[in-house]
Amino acid sequence: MASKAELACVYSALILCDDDVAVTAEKMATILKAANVTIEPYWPAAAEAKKEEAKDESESDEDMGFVKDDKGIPTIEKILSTDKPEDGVDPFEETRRSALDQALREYLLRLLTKSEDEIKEIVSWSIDLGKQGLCTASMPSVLLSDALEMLPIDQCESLFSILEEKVEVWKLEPFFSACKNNLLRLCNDLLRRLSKSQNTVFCGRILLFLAKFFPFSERSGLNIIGEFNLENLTAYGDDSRDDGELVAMETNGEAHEDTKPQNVVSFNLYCKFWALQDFFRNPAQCYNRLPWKKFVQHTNEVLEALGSMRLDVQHFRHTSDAPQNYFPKYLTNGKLLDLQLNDGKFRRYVLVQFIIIFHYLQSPVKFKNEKQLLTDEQVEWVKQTTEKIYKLIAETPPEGEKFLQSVKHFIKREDLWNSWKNDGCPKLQPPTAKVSESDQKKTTNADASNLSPGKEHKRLKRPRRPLGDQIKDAVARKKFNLGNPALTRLWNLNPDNLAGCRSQDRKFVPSMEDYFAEAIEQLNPKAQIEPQYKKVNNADFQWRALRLLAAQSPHFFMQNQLIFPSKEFLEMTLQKVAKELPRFQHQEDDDDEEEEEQEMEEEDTEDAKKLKPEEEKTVEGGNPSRVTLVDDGIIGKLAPVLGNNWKVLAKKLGMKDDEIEYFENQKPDSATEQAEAMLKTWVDSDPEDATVETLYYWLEGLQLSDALKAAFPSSS
Amino acid sequence: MTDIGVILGATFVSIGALITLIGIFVCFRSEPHYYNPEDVDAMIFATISDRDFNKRHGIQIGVKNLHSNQNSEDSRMEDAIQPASTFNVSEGPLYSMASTERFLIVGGINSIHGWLWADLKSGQTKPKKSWSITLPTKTESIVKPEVNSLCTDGNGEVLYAGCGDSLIYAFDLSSGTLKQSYAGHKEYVHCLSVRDTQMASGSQDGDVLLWDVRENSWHNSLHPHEKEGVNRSNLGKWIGCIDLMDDWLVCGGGPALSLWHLRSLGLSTVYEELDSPVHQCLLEGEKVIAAGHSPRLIHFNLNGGIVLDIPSSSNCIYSIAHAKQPREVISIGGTSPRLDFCSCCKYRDYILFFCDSS
Repeated sequence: MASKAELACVYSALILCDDDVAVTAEKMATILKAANVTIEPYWPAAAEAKKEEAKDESESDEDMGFVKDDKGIPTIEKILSTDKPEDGVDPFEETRRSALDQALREYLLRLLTKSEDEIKEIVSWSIDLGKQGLCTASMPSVLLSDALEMLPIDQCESLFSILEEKVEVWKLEPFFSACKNNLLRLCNDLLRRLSKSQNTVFCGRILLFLAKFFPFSERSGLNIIGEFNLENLTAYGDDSRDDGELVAMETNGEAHEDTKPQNVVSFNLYCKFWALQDFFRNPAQCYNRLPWKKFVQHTNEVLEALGSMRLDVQHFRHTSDAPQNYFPKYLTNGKLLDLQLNDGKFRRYVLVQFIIIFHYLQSPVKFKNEKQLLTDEQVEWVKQTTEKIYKLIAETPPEGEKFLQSVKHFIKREDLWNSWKNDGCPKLQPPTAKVSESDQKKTTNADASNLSPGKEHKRLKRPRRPLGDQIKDAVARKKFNLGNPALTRLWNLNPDNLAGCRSQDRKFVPSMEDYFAEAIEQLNPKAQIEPQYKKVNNADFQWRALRLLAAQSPHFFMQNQLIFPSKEFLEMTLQKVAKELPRFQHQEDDDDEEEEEQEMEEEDTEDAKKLKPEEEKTVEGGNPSRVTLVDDGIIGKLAPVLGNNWKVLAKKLGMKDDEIEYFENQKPDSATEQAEAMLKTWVDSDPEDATVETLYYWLEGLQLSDALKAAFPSSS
Repeated sequence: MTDIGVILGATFVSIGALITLIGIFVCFRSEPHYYNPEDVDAMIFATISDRDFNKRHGIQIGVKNLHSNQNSEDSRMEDAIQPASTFNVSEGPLYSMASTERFLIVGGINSIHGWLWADLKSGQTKPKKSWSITLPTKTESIVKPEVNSLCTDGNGEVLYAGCGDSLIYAFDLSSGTLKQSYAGHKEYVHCLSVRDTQMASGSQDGDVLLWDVRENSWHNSLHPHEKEGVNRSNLGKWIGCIDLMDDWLVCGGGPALSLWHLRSLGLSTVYEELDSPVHQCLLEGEKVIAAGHSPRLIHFNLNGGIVLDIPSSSNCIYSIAHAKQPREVISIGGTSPRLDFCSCCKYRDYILFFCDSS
């Protein structure tokens, strides 16, 4: 019973309230004084405190009369920190946990009007708390389902992202078993709330989340006994029946214009066609005698009609590039059927429906009734009709044959699926690499092929570790995995490829010694390397070598040189380089003298022109073997000494008698002049052979030692 | 239902918007061996020689509501109908049938008979013959020519008859008098087609003659059997069916079904798909409808592609009738007593047969 003092306080507070004046102890006291009510002085203060509470409660949709959230966060954290050391020995753990659960839930209620981020935050806490065992493991899912139940759909959509982000968390153990059912229910509730046509993206997100969340062999989404969706009724006929009656009625009247378009598929076929959908919806009714008769009759007629109407392949060839549309439902208006029957895709859908129902009727399904078996006669009919349908599918453009193959393939897969279900949906063991017995392999393969195509693919590759995991690992180690060991190695030399390219190490030009060393060794006949393995024959090497030579000195590419294939040119140049470079000199010295000479005769003669400076040097050096070209100087020295012997030499040098005669006639007076002319002609006509060596050789062979001495004073 | 019978002709007239009256003439055969399906002519001669056979040529009139919407889902494809009337033409066998808005016209030996559709519609069991025309053949001739083909002009005023004496006659239907006769074929005339003033005729001699109906001599001729690719020497050179429209003519028979351009007289398309003798063909707008000695009715497009391929209950088809009003209907009749109907010309949706009236 309220005392007088209490009543006085309440009234005074109400008066203040009515006047929109802040209710405070002093003001109340003033009013009471004015009203001439005497009370204990502490009453107004107590009332004020109560009023605060009441006020908070009146604004409960904001914060429910609890402490404000900015104060709430530290409290929870405090609990967390204070509880930690006591964990495990706390006899009140259970009580504490349920108290915390309750607190969390109520706190969430207050947060609902706030932004989703705060709700996400509290869910994250609850996950942390759950990990510590401070609240029940199912708490995060309870909080989420509370929130999602109460929020409007657009907010749900943004809140849902936390489910997606934490999918790895949900799969971990304290949470998975606890949250599994809650999350499933939550998702299903959400799906039920969503419009399938408006919120397609969100629906998809939910389904994707479920697919990620549940293990592969989770059976909760499976239609284990193979029930049919009997709600999928196909309505048809009413419109055109009305039309028909209308027309019939109008015919009784006198003036009637037949507005019905010609060539419309007859109502008869139309009804039969759409009546078939009822069998497709519920194939089980085919096992009864009367419906079966109807089914057979309708099927025959529809197939005959489909068979009669050929589709224009040409037309489809043009439209095959058009974007692929998919229609989950078709309109059943009678006026459309004609168009639909002429549409290749529509036909395919219908024909595949037939294939599916025939497959179902024949296939052994555990949950079928015992009476649900076809008689031999029926089986025979089904077989024949299936063949007919296969033919029709193959005829249906575009790419009927290809489509037929895929249909057959998927029907086969359906068999595996059935047998999996008939075996009671055994759990799928990820096949390990150790599976050795062929039996085991078979079963795992069969299991694998029950699954959706993508998964199957992955599964078969499992022994080598899934590529995805490999890549994930590599990314975690900041490496690249390109699937090919060589490429992977290259890419990982420097993970930052651009930086790798910029690095100073790459900017260098190899010295000629380094670069040619190997090739020169290979050129040595002693190495006995098959021509095809020589480095000079490598196009890559050739190109680089040429560039290197060009960079070194332009005189490797003199204008007047003859054009050789790059390989030969390289070989020659390498020979020369080998001689030039001190590093290779000792090698050359080791070689047999004869071989060296031979090589030089072969190679250096050709190179002679290109390296004139060196050549001259060697001439002066007096080593005949180094000399490459006969010049005027030599001729001048040689000619007078030769005297009349020049004719013998001319013959050896390949001159013909008439040519010798010509020289004689040209300069009849002096043998010296004749010899000079001959030698000059020889040099001009045969620049490749006209080398000092050749000359030297012949002079030596003819034992013209005088001439030798005159021409090559140093050689003796 | 009669167990054996051949439908040689069928035609329609509509009663209301939906109900169609069908005139069918059926030749009932007592002795099947007279019938040689390879060639219609063999059968025609056989019918002439057999008196008993001749007597049983009859016309049956049936009424069928082709567009009934009743019980559609349960309706059966095959349906027996009670003939509204059945009557024989006393003179002998019948060879051809045609229909105008007023008359049902039937050609027999040496004579053409007409019935008023109005009488037939009224449901008389033995309707009176409205008129009869005797062919103006020479009296001394022993063999009386048969009327192989009947054709009317667009208004239903003039009746053209292609006959066994290799002549084509034109009769004025209002007076019943002979307007003109056209001579040119060397053998009996199988088929005729008239559009406006153009007329084309096909004969056993293998020629197709083109006429202007106002002239009494042909102005052009085609010889399909002389054309490579069209000629099928194993099947003979006779022309069994012909149809023309605007600048195009389609014909077939022993030679393959082929499409010709009339102005250039050039061969345009050969329809090799139909590899049996061709007994009936129609040229309708952009498509060619043809059938012959195979249980299928084929719609081709002008380029030779198949648009529709409708199975038929007859192994050999002798009659295709195409009604356009009130709705398109095609009937297919042949060696089977069943008459197939394609009520929207795309697929077969009814099979009719007459209950035996006797």
